[in-house]
Amino acid sequence: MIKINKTKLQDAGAKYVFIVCACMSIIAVFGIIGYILYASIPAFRDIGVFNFLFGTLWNHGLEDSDKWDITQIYGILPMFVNSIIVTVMSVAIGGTIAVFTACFMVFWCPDKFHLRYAGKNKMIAKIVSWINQINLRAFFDQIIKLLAGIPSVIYGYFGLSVIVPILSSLNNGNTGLGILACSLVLAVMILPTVASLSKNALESVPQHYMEGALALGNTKAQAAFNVVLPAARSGVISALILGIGRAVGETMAVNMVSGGRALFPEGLFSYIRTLTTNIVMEMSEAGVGSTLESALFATGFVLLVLVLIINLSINLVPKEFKGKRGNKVLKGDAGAKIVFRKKGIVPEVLKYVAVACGAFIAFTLLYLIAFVLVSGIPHITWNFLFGESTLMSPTLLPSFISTGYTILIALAIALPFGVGAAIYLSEYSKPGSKVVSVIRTFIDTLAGIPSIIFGLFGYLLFATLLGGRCTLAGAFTMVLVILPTIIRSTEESLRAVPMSLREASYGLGAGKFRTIFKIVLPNAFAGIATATVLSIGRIVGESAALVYSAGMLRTTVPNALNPMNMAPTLTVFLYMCWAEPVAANPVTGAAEIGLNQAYATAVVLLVITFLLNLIVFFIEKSVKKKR
Amino acid sequence: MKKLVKMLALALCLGVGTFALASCADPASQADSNDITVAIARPTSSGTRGAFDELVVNSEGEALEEVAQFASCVQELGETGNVITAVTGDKKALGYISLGSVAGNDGIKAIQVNGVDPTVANIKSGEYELSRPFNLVYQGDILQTNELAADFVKFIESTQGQEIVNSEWIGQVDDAEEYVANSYTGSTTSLTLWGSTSVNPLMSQLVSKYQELNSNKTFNFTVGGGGSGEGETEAQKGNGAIGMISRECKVDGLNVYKLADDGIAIIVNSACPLTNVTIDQLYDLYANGTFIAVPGGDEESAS
Repeated sequence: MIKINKTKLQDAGAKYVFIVCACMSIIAVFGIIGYILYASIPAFRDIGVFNFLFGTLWNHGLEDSDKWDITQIYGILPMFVNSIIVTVMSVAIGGTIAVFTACFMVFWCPDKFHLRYAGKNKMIAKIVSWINQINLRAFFDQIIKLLAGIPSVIYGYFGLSVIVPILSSLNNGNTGLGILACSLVLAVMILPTVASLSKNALESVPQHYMEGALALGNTKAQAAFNVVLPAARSGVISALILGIGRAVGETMAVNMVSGGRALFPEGLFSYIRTLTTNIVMEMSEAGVGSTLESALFATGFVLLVLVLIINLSINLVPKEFKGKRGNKVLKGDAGAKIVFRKKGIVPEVLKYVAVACGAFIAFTLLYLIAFVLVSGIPHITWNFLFGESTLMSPTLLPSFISTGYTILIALAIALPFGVGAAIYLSEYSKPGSKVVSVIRTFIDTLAGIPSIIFGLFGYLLFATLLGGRCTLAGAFTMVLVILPTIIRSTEESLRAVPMSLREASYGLGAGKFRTIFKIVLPNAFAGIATATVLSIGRIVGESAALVYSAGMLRTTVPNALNPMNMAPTLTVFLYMCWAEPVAANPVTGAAEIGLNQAYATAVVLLVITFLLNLIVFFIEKSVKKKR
Repeated sequence: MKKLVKMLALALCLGVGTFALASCADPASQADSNDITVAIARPTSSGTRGAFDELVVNSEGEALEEVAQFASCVQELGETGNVITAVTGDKKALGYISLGSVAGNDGIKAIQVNGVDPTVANIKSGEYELSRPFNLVYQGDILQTNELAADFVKFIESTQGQEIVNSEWIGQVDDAEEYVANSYTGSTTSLTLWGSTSVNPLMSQLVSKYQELNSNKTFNFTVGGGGSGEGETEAQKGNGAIGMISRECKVDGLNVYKLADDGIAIIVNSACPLTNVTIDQLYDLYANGTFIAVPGGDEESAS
């Protein structure tokens, strides 16, 4: 008797614990919205909502002037317009390339290289056979994943060192910064998101669509572009919307190539300031309680609302796979259409566009990696990596320490909550119930919030609670950032555990709680491990959320060892190399911190990103083998 | 379904068109001239910007600070370092930074203003017009009661401290005495100095030297920040931090210690032949977008 009661109690108690975990993301979303709204109320009150949203002048310097009223000098309309324009341009460029790349990966990517070597040199023959063994599809998958994992600040440096000079030469040697540079950098950044999601959408179209179209005499290109792509449109549109959300919220990379003016753009090389960069540029100068600070939080609030609208609009895209428009060849005057289709040249051309886009992505990534390596490796020295760090000559050692702290603390909190939420979603909730769809919406919402907003929230809540910015506040902020990743990835792997295992466990008399912990979780270990690695990648690559919660400064090892002190993580240090460069000065003992050191840091980050991707790759491979 | 393909094609055309447009020459651009066509400012909330806008007054008595919106050739960059990087990379750019931040940067040079070199002597004599104070702000009497802060100020006012201050800034102490090495005996070892990026180079040097002189102790100095506003904020919090600001203090209830006077240097790329600008030229560049003609290049200038 007692035993049964204990099990029942355990099961009932566990359920509530898991529900609480699942509700964390709801609390987080409301907390973020509430806190940022609360901080922006003074601005809305003093400036006026209308003046703030539709004012065209942003000039804090006029606050002391007699001629200007406070209601006139904080207007965000130009920045709002700039954000929209940059987003549209980047999605038009990056989204198109990404969708075509997805088509290339699904329809035309060859499985393997088919190189032939007739000579007798054994070495070359070996290398050729080795190259022929590479699985090209998997290779492309990895390229997209690696592109997605590269910290955004590295894209900023890439834009600054590669894209801006090219644009400058196109602009007759005048400046290359501005709206076009921002759009191009963003286009590269949203490529992986849109490409991988579009690829998933294309792959989920039933095989018979393709087969049917081919059987009716279409060429492969016609079938792909006229039948399968339209059938996958809801998935592709969702992918583009996610890309839009990412582009609107991106901060650091844009800040590096924008030029920073709150003006309406006049041309492709107009200096611009977006909603996100407005926060980064002015936040550090704003005094606590000042109208400026509140106006910046209000900027963040407007950005948050914009992103929420964009991300929630995904729900308007019909989710069900609808095939009724499947193949028009079946309808009406079929014969004529088939002839027409066979002659149709557009899809044939698009095929080459798709191949070109695939090649472009591969080229971009390889060029980016090569560029970073070539620029960075000569400047990597033992002393720069692990030497003693001082105010005058900082090294990466404190950053390694604080990055490690952030990862450990954030994971220690986020993993239990995330896994608990995933357990609730997959084991306890009824599939398709309202509660689940609400929780899921909130998890997706949390995942879509720009990292600069997390930074503002961490600054408002954690940094205030802990008496100032510090590594610990940064780690707490990162918990919210990585929570959705952990929940999603874990839930997926829990669902992949066969029902029969659970049934067998129940059949042997185990309670639900016991079944979950002894049977389900161990079987889903690979998924949880993947989630952990992905989260580490996210933490390592994060900058905007950490600058305001964990701080950006030069520090020493003893300082960094205490998580209650400020210390930059690796990516924040990378950003610092641009924001606060210092020239070498033998008189004062200052060591050079600039582009060279930035690329050296970028090499370290690339290596970490690469290793993390490799780990995920091997985990996934081992899971596939088991099945 | 055809529509979607068409739309995608259209989007691609748009993308290509953007590139094509980009390659078209801007009619107002000047191909091979050396003229200064890019002016770099700081955000309106920056201390350096505030001081610069106040000091740049044209011959008609109009100050830059009264100009609501600068010309479109003006960039705004977040921090001192961004300005240096931008000018290093652009032969046509002109910017302004703290004089103390110029040293050691090979890619940039500080030029004359109204024919006067930006040197410590000229700032002291008042001939160089662009200068502003570096202040430390603090709550209550931290600077006297906090053992470490008090001893650190004693060091700043010593000969060793003033030697650093006077290297590129203007010290405020005339009769400095020597600071005795290892003379700090207090128990406090940590101090936060936070705020302006312009004050940061000076403060980092002072702190390094201080630690060197008191090598028998391990200190925990936190020196950093992103702007003067942060300095005031940090000081206001009342957790013992000292704010560094590169302008006059705008917050009531904070005490001010004047650390030094600093020149604002006008910088251009070291490959740029420009050696002198007038204040009027600066005003016209920032306010009206009048490019500064550089000898050696085409003399024409556009507005």
